[in-house]
Amino acid sequence: MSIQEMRRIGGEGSRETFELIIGPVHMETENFSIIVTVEGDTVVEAKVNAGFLHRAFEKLAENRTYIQNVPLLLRVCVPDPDHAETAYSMAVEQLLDIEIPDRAKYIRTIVLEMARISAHLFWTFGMSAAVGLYTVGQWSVADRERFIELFEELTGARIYHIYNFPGGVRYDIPMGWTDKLMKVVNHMEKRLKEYDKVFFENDILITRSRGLAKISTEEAISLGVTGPNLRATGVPYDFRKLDPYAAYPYIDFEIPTGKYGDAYDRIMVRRREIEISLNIIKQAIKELPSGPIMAPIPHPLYYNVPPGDAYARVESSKGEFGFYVVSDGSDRPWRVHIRGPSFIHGVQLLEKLLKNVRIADIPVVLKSLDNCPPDIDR
Amino acid sequence: MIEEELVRKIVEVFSYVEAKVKRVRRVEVKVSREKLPEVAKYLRSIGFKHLSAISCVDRPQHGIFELVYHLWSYENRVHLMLKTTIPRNKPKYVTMINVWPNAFVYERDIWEFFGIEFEGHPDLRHFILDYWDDIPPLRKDFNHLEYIKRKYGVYDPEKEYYLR
Amino acid sequence: MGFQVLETSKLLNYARARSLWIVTFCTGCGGVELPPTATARFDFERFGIISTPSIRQADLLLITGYVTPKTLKRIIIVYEMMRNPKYIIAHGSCPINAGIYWDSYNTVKKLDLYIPVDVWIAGCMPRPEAILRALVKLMRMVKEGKALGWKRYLENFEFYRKNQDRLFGKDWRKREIEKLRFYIHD
Ligand code: SF4
Repeated sequence: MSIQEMRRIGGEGSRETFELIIGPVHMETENFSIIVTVEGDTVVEAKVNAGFLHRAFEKLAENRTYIQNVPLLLRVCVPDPDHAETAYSMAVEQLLDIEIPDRAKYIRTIVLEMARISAHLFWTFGMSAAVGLYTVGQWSVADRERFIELFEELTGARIYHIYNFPGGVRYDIPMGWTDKLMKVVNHMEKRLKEYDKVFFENDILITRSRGLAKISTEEAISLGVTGPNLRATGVPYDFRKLDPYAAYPYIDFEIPTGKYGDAYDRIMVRRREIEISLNIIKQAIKELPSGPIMAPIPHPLYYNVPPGDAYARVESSKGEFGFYVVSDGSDRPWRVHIRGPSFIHGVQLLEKLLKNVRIADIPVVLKSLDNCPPDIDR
Repeated sequence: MIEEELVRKIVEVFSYVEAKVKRVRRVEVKVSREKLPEVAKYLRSIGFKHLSAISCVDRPQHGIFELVYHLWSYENRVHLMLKTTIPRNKPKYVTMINVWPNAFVYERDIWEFFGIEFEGHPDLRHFILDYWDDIPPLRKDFNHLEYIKRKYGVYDPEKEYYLR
Repeated sequence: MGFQVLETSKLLNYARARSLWIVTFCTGCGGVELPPTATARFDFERFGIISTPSIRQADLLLITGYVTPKTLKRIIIVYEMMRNPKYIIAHGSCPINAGIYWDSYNTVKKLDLYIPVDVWIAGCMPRPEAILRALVKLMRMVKEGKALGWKRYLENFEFYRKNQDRLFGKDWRKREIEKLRFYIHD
């Protein structure tokens, strides 16, 4: 038996239908598989087969204390872990009813925007491979390394930072770090123009993604689509503005939107988000207040949380990332429910958008949704 | 305040719901399981179009499952938690796909991890778990350490860490 | 005879060590560190390593993190489809002893029981430098003819097969095909 095989399942003559199993051993699907029924080379029906990465976070979280859960739950979305840890911390803060200090809010904003940029750069790598323009992929991963290095200096780790804690952030900004960050931001701004030339305004990308896999605003909202995929349909719905957290209410930024809701719009919304995130970082550095970085929490390692429930959400690089935490008054959560954006984008939306798409365009559709398999499976 | 207005409006229309403001931009509405579908339809018509998630909370000490529908209204910028409870043995509920189409994935998820049947759901099948051979895993009475020991044969809390 | 040549020929081993091709199959968190390792910054192509879409032509399988039973089936199928000699590198503490997921009901606790691993990398999210080090180490082992996981698998096939069957149930290979059929008709 092979992993990717094509099987004839019906039809006669030119209207034969085949079944094609894509993934999990595939460059673009990463870690889940899609089973598509094709007629000729047009997809008639797509079914997602997920669950290759299910680790049962929701069960594990019930057996760990609130603090132990931070290093665990950030592993939900691998390319973008900071948003997960922040959302969880915010839910616990709501339960404890504490307000984090101003400096912590600004540092969180900086870290989250850096995380957004590095997630988008990582996505650029995948997207460029999907359309066959490998050069920009090499560049974007190398540029992402600059942010990762800054992360390493700030938090001590490359990918899993475990930095945003319930109550604030763990360490203060080291000396001279903001200057280095400014340098990288300026470098990135220049670099984006080159990206445009080679990739985002490239004819190959435009012809391959313009008009592909369109979705309207009403449909997107009724399916629960969030993030850049929703904004590409033309509405400026961003939870940084709608349900503000960290220092976003004090910062002035615009929200990029698309027009047609097709794959190219989704790509360009992400591209413009990088630029806006760079701007946010600049503003946040300029206005960075001084003061404590941690609100007083009951105990540094171990505390009981008053009974109740709370839902906190952040706008991650992929969409709404939410945590619903229920406490029964003990030191462990009674229930943690993870609401990941990819659970919608990677399953229901993908199955819908893949209809009537050519086989060669499947990776483009898939990557334009920026879907994160570990977050589907949790 | 928009939250209080909203609570007043909902209580006016449905006298039987319990509604309260939890905190800024967070509203909680409790409703009995028979009445939830009509409240849901009403909420959708006043702008709660985005279903963020459906959470299920297992409370064996009360013998119930709690279902929480997380709704968001883009116009009012309010998050509403619509809560209801269903009995724990032979759990069954109606599907909300006709109100929010993305209830599809969440209901399948809850069926898989809690074992709640949703009447009218077209596709209740194992999506994430592969050949599951025990009670649904997120129920509180599922003993995961026991299961690990049985399935992987390596973990034993009493004796040494690894048996093999 | 085939065995003899595969094991002893120094020239062959030298050549193999210089062209390890990787199956593009990542599982788990560690996959996120592979693009930096593969591209401009760390660049493993200078060791003659490249990722290939074809399983049949690959020599090296990277297991980049925790393994769930569902993935393990695919890993075993992929591993058995690869041609001898073939090597496995396992990233992170998860394949070694399940790491942070030690009490998760859906991750495999000891990968060693199901497939043979040549080189382990310790650490939770091994850094690209660690991955490079492991690759260099594997190259040295291949050159000296010491990376014999594939042979271990052939010789102890009964043992591995027994463990696999205990985890997945007796005729899991057949069922896997059946299951894919299930998707077609529902
Ligand atoms: S060792 Fe750490 S980084 Fe690697 S798969 Fe396990 S949890 Fe993830």
